[in-house]
Amino acid sequence: MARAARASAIRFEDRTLAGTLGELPWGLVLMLITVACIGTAALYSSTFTNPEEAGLPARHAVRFAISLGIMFVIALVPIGIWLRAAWPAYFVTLAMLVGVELFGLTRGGATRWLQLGPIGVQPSEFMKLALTLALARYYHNNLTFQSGRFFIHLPALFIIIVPAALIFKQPDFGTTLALIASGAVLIFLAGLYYRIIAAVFLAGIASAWPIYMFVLQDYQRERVNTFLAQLTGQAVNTLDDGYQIEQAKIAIGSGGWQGRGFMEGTQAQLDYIPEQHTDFILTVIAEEFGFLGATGLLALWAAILGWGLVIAGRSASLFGRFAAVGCVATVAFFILFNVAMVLGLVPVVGVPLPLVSYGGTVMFTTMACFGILLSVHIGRDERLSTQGMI
Amino acid sequence: MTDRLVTSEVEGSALRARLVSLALCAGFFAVSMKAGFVALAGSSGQEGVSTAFEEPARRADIVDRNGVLLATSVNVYSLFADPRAIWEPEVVAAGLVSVLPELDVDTLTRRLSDNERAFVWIKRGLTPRQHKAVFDLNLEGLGFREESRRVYPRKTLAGHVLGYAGTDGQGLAGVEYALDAELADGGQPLRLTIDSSVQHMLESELSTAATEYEIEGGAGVVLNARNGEVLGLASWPPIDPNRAHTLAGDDPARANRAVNSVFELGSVFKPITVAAGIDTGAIRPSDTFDVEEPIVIAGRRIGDTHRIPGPISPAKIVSESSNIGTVKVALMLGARRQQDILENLGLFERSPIELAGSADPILPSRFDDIHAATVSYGHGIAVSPIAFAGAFSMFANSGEVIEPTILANRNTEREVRRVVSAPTASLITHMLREAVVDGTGGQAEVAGYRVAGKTGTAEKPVAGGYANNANIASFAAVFPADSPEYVVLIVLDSPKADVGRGRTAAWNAAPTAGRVINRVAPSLGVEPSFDDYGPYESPLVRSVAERRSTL
Repeated sequence: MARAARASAIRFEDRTLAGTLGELPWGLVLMLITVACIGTAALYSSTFTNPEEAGLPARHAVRFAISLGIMFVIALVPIGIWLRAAWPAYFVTLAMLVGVELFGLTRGGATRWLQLGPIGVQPSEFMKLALTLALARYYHNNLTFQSGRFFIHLPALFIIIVPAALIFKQPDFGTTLALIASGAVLIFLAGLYYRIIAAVFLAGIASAWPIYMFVLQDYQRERVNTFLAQLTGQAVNTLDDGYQIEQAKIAIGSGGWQGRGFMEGTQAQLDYIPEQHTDFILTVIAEEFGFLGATGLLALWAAILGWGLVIAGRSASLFGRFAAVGCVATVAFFILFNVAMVLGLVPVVGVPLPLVSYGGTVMFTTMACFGILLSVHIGRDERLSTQGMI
Repeated sequence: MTDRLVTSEVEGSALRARLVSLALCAGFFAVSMKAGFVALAGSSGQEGVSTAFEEPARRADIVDRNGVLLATSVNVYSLFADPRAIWEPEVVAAGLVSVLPELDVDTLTRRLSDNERAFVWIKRGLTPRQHKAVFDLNLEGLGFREESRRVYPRKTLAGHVLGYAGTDGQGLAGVEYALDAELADGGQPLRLTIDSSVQHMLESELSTAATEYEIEGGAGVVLNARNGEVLGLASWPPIDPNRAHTLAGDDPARANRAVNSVFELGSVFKPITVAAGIDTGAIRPSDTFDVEEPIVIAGRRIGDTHRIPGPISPAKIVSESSNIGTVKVALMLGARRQQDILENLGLFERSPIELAGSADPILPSRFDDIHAATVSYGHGIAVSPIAFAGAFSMFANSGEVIEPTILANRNTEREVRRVVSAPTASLITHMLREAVVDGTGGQAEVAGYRVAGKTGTAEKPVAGGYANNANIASFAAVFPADSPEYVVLIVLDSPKADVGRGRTAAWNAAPTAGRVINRVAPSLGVEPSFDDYGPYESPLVRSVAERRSTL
C-alpha cells in the first residue's frame, strides 16, 4: 500500500541530474545571487578608499561562488540522507563544542576555535545547521496528536539548551541567541501549548533582572546599559560606547530617501563606521542607495525567505518541513537581528548580514541552509518513513 | 506500516505556520519602519549632523602679518588595532613597547585582549620614523590611519593667540576656536595681525619680568593705534599649543590673561578721568587742586600713598598719580559723565577681539558717590587688558578709539568712535609724557622713543576683600609721544619687592614696558628723536580720518 502511494511521486533514484537541476527553484537562486552582488558592490564602495582592503570585494565574490557550489551539492543530496545524517551531525558537532571547551583556541578572550590539523574551525557555526536538522529529525519521529503537551518538547529543549549553553560560555552571545531563536520557532511550530509559551514568556521577563545581575559578564552588562541608554534617548559617550550606532544612524540619516549615490557615501568611506564592511554593511547601502535601496534589499530577502516558507509548506515530510522552517528561521534571525542592531533597536552583539557582510563563515552557513532548503524542495514529495531505519 | 503521523494533522499546525510567517513579516515591517524613521529624520532634522561629516578639507594654516607660519596641518599616521584579529596580545604589546617605549605594556595587553572591540587606538600621530618602525615589526591585527594633525612650528610663540585644535581637528581655544568654521573650510591661510618678532620680544620681556619680579601671572599687549591691529598679545605663563592637551584643566598656562582675565588696573584709569574732566569743561587745564588732606566720601577715606605738597595742576595729578586729585576731578565731572566716557571707550563690554573667551568686565553694581570715586582711579572696575589697551588707543588717536583686531586684511568696516576732542587727547598725552619724564613712570623711558605712559598699582582682590601684600601692577603707554602710533600695555600679577625696589608698578611694570618699547620700536620702524619735547606745545593734531586721507 505504502509503496503504491509513493509511486505517484517521482522517486529520487528515477531522476536524472539534469532533470533534478531543472526542478530547482531558479528564481530563488537568482535572488540569492542578486543579494550577493549587492553585497560585493557595497563592499567595493566601502573599501575602495583603503588600499589595505582592496582585495575584499573580490574575495567576497569568490567565497560566494564556492558557497554556491556547496549549496548545489547539499541540494542534490537526497533529503533522506540528510534525515539519517541529522543525529550524527548533531552529536559530532556537540562533541566538537565540548572539545572547544577543553582544548579550544582562545583568541582575545573568546574560545571559539578548534584546531583540526591545519585549519581552525568554529563548531558553533556548524551547530546552527546541525541543531535545525536534529530538531527536525526529533519532531519527525516524535510528533503525536498530543503534541501540545510539554513533555514531548522536553527533549527538544535539551537539544537546544546543551549547545546553546556551551556556546554562551565561549562566550558568543550572537550565536547563542540565533540557536535559541530558531529552536524556539521550531518548538512553536511543533505545537507547544500556548499557555506554556505564555508561562515561559513571563518567566523570561521575570528572570531578566537576575540574568543581568548574575549571569552576564561586565562587558555584556555595559553593552546592555549603553543600549538601554540609547533606546531611552539618554546621552551616551558617542566617542566610545555608542559610537558605532551613532555613526551608523548618521550614515542612514544622511542617505535620506534615495541616497547619495553609489560610492558617494562619506560616513562609510571615510571610515567613521567601524566594522563597516562586516556587521555594519547595511549603513553603506542605506547611505548610498537611501531608504529605498535598503528596504529594497530587505524586500528581496523577505521574498527569498517567503519562498523558503512556501517550500516548507509543500514538503510532505515533517522532517522536510521542520528543516526548511529551521533554515529560514536561522537566516531570518541573522537578517532581522543585524538590521535591528544597525538601527540601534537591539544591542550590538556582532551578527552579520548574510551574503552582504564580508565574512566566510556566515556565508557558508547561509548557503548551507539554502542547500538544505533546496534539498527539501527536491524531495518534497517523499514521506520519509523512518521505520526500520533506526 | 504507514507513517505515524500525517503532518497536516498536527493540532493547529497550519495556523502556527501562518503565525511564523506573520511574525517574519512583522519583523521585516518593523525594521523597515524604523529605517524609514531614521532616514527621514536624517533628511530633515539631522541635516547639520550629517553635513558635519562632509569630506573635511585640510585645515587652513595660520600665518602672521608677514606670512610667517604659526599653525599648520601635517599628515601623520595613527596606529590602531583590531583586538579580535590578535591571537597573542602579550606578544603584540611587547613588540609595540619596544618601538614606542612611552606605552605601558600592561595597559596595552589589556586593551588588545578586549576581543569585543574591533577597533582600539594605540597611539595617534606617529612620526614617519615611528610609523616605519611599527610597520617593520610586522605584527598581526594592527593598522594605520592617515590623519591630519595640527602643528605649531613656533612652539610657545603666540600660543595663547593661536589656541589649539584637538586630535580630531576641532579648534578648542584661541583663534583656532573662534575661527574654527573658517579654518575648517580650508583654503587660503588665515593671516593674523600679529608680528612674530614683536610677539617674540613681548613674550621674552614678560618672561624676564616673571623671573625678576616673581610674578604669578602677566599679560602684555602691543597695539597699532591707527588701525587697531594687535601686533603682540602675550600672557605669562606661556603655553605650547603642541602640548596643550597634556596640561591639566586648571593649569595656569591655559588662561590667556590678556583676553580671558579681568584686572582692576588702578591708576592707569586716572588719565581717562582727567581727560573726561577737561573735555566736558568740568575742569580746566589751568585749575589747581589741593591734595594735601585725604578726602572722605560716604564715610570712606581716600588718601594718597605719598604726600604731595601745594595745590597741583591736572597734569601733576596724572604724573604724581594723586588719588585725592583724581577723585576731586571725578566729583566735578559727575558720575553720569564718568559712565559715559567709560562706556564710549568700550570698557562696559567685553572686547570685540576675535578670540575665544573675551572676558566680560566686572563693573560696580551702582555708580553711587563712593563707586564713582574709586572707579576714577581704577579701583572697583575690572577689565581685560586687551579691552583697556583698546580704550587707551584714544590717546594715540587724537581722541578716537578703535576696536582692536587680530585678523589682518579684513575689509570689514570697524567702528571708530570719537570719545574726546583732539586737543584734549593731545593734552593728556603730554601729561602722560610728563609722567614718564618727571613722574612715576620714569623707568619706562626709552632714549629716543618718547614714551608717554601711566603706572597703575591696584590691590589684588582676594576672597572677601583685597590682599594687603599683593598688587596688580600695570603700565599703559603710547609712543612716540609727539605723534603716537602704538599702545603698549603691561600687566603683572603680584610682582615682589626686593632690595632697593618697591612692589608698585613704577618698579616693575614701568621698566618692563620700557624694555618692550626699547626692543619693538626699532623693528616697527619708529624714527628715534632726541629733540626736546616742549610741554603743552600742541603738535599737529589730526583725527584718524584725516590721517587716513593723507595716506
